[in-house]
Amino acid sequence: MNKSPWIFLGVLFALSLSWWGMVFGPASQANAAKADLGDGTSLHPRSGLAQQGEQIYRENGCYYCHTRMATGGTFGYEIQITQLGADKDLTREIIGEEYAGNKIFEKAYAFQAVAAAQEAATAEGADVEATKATLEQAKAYANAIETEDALIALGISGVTIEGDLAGELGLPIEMSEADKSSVADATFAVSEGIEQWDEIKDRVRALKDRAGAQFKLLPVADNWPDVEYWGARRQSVTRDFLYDVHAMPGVMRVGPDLSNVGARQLDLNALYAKIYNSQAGGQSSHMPPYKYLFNVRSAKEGEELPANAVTVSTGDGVKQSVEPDFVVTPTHKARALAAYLQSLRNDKGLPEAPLPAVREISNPKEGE
Amino acid sequence: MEEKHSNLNLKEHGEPAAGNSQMPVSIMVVLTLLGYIGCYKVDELNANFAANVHAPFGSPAEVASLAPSEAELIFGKGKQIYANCQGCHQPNGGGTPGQIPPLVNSSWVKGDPKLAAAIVLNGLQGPIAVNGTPYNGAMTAVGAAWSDEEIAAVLTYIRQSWNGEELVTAEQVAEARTMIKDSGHLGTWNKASLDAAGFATPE
Amino acid sequence: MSEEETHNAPLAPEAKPEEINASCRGPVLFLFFSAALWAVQATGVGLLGSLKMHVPGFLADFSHLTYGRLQANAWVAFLYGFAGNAGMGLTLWMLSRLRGMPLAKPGFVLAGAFLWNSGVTAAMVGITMGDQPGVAGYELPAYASRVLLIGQAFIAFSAIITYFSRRHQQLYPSSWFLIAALVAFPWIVGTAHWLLVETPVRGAAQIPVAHWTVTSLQQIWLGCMGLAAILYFIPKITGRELYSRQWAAFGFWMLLILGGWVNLNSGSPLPVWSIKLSQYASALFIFVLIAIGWNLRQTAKGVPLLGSSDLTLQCMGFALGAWLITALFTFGNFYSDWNGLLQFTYAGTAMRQFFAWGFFAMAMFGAVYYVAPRLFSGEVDWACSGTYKWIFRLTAIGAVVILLAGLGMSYGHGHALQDGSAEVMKKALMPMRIAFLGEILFFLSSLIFLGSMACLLFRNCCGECSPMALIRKCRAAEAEGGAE
Repeated sequence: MNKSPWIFLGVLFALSLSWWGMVFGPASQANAAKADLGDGTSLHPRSGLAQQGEQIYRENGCYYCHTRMATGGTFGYEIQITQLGADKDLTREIIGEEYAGNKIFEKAYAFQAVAAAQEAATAEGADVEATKATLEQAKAYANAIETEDALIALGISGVTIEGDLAGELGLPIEMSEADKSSVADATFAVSEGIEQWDEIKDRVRALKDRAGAQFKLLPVADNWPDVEYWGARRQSVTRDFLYDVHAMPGVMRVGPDLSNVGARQLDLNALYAKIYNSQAGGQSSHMPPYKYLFNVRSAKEGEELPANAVTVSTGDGVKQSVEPDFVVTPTHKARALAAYLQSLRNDKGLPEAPLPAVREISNPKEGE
Repeated sequence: MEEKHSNLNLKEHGEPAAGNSQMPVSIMVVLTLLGYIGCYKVDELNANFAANVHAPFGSPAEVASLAPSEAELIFGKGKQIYANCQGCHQPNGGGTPGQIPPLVNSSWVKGDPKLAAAIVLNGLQGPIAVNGTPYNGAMTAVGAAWSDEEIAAVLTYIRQSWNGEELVTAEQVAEARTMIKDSGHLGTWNKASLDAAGFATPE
Repeated sequence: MSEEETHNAPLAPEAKPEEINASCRGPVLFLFFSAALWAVQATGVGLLGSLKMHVPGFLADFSHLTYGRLQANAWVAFLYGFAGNAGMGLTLWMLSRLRGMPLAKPGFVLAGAFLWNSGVTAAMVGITMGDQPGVAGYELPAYASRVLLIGQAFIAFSAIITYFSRRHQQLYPSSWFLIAALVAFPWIVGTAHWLLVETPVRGAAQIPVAHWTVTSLQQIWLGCMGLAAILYFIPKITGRELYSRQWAAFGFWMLLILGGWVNLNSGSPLPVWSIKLSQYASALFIFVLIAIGWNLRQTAKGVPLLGSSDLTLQCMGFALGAWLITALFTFGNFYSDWNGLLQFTYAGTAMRQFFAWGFFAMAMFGAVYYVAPRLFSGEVDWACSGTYKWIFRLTAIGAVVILLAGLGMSYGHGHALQDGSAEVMKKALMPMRIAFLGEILFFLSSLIFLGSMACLLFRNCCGECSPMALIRKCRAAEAEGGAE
């Protein structure tokens, strides 16, 4: 530690460690991120007013009070079978008695048995007696089960039952379009919505590899404040900022999180009113008014408000100017900022961030 | 009364020196131990430095499990490409009675996918019969510039949506291309030329 | 030199302290006085900004005074204006003293300081016009960072020449920290300037770069300069030697390695691995805390720091305490649940303010109290060191208020965010209202600092012609006349 060159080199080396890990590594990963979403669509940059609006957002330092990052909470999975595997005992073993004992499950396998019997009956050297026995067994299940459940059972069994046989088995002979789509979209949940990945991953693998069942894995928000209360639909990920000229994720939530504000603020006039004066219409807010983003001129006597004037509704639904006795119209900057805000959405699932199902989506508790 | 620090410099001690008290070895042991445990924990939780694993997911396997299957992706892509077809064949595949044949339950779509692939590649004109109804229109070679995967995707979409058939692979489309080349046929098909090239058309 | 000789004896400088002080006089006083001006500006603008948070309509019609721009301006004025000037002035003086050589190339320092201040001014003007680059905690437009880098290069050049003017000498730990700060600044600001402002990488990649910049500027640049001051003044004033070179080295290297990783919010839109590595680094930060804390505790064992009669020692003691508390907070960030609770509340900003004022500014105030009078020739003192004591008291109280408000009250805000409570706005504003009092105290303290510096300069400038020298001559003449 006495040789000065060692200290210089040492400092450079020590800094390079954090530079490598926190600058070079993540930045090159992010640079390599693709816009393609894998299902034929891709992310695309903002254009026009929305792109210009990003500049207005930056210029006014909006990121000091608003964040643009929705955080992840906890969620669980729901395994939904869409088609049972052929091996009944194996599948029952994998999904557990709790679900395997369900009537729908039993019926679905009954339908599979019926279809197998039918095929056997039309084959060479058919055993008519065995076919009849199977049919009787299947009919035995066709009692005291709701049509809806029967349609689900048919859907997940993966077989087609025609005409008269359908009637004998308790299915509608002439299926309506609605019934047909019930069968097509049938799913049968074999897990609680709050099971963690580590708890179910073995089951998932077994279902897929050994039982040959087809299933959907549905994420369900368990404790996810941003999704349940604050208007986001999922967490913000790196690719949400892919095309931003300046990523401004924010530091503090004095105001609401804006990662999905575009899906909430659909009324452009209300958005302008909020930006103009967040306390307009009697709302309580500490957001400073941005009146300089608007053209304000005094209203003439008895003048009718122009179409693009910013208005608020009074209690009886009458529209009046947001600033009484003045006509307020947005400037280009305000329109750009509003366009940018309306472009902020995270209600589209990405492969790395699917939209979780939320049991009860509550509106954000805070006034938007 | 003002505090006077007169003769400041004399009151000053010399420049500080650093003593030589040894750091206990135990602190390095603890650091190594905690460092190791930390590395272990990070290894467990870092999802192998995967770029696509964001909190609250914990592993690439978990993210992959939610990803749509190959079949779903092809279906989705085919749906996108079908936008080029829906102008004539309608979004529900019904076509226009008397003018554009339907794609729903169509004998021309079911069965060997190479027939449909050949039609998409080169177009079709002249009198044909679809499900017993005669049609006499002209279809341009919409898929002339599409890749094998794209044609396979849109055919998969059409077959799976309205014909109850399984998916079409890019290899099958490539086979169709080879058959076209071998037949030496150029330009739009008609029923006869399709049969001549080896694509069996339904009656 | 044998181990024993270097062990206990103070280093015998080649140049006398007076000579070194004299060589530093112009440049370092210029830097200190600039720092005082910037401190007032930073706190004033910060106050104005905070006022707008509580009275939203106040001066809201001017786009140049909008809250977002004032926040950026306040931080730029503090970080680059005050901290940069004070830190670099102290760096030059300490390096000269520790090397035992007069400051080399003072002209370069003055040129660099002038460029530096121009750069900070350009940044503030640019931000007022709307040019802020959108990186909270860095906030330098391209033209400003270019000028700052050149200015710092000039000053670093002088420091390096001074440094290399004498070899074969055992380095005191403060020198390592100062060198690290001098080397780190161009790297950090250069990275940010190049990757975020000049030729910005795509948006997604900017997030980790921005975080590294902000955290390194705080932990490494400010941290190293402040710790250098603490490690120098506590042994020097108490007359003891620093407890252990080994502990200092351990803490130094750990700080440099970990400083750029820590404090990443667990909700950041980065892949899981970045967040886990940052938490790992935060967990290891406890060793930096132990190293610095233990070393200085053993050094100052038996000597009351905060209760000392020496103001510099009081300031350094408080600064050390503040640094340890922030290091503890950094350590706490390894725990996801705790970090997740506080990440979007005022807690982060409060800790940053506490670090800035409670640690760094306090260390600088203590150092300037010691250094500035010694730069003048002859008997020089502060006009009223009683007044200067108020700088310490006000800054200390303000820092404690912000710490308690920010950390204590932000739990309410954090819980409201987690529970979806309708009172989230009210709970968000509570800590900021209390912290506003702290900011007022900082403003007052900066004003007193500026006044003290101005007074010191005015009374003692121009050598023999200074007002104080003339007063002394008059008094001496009177005394002589009276004796006759």
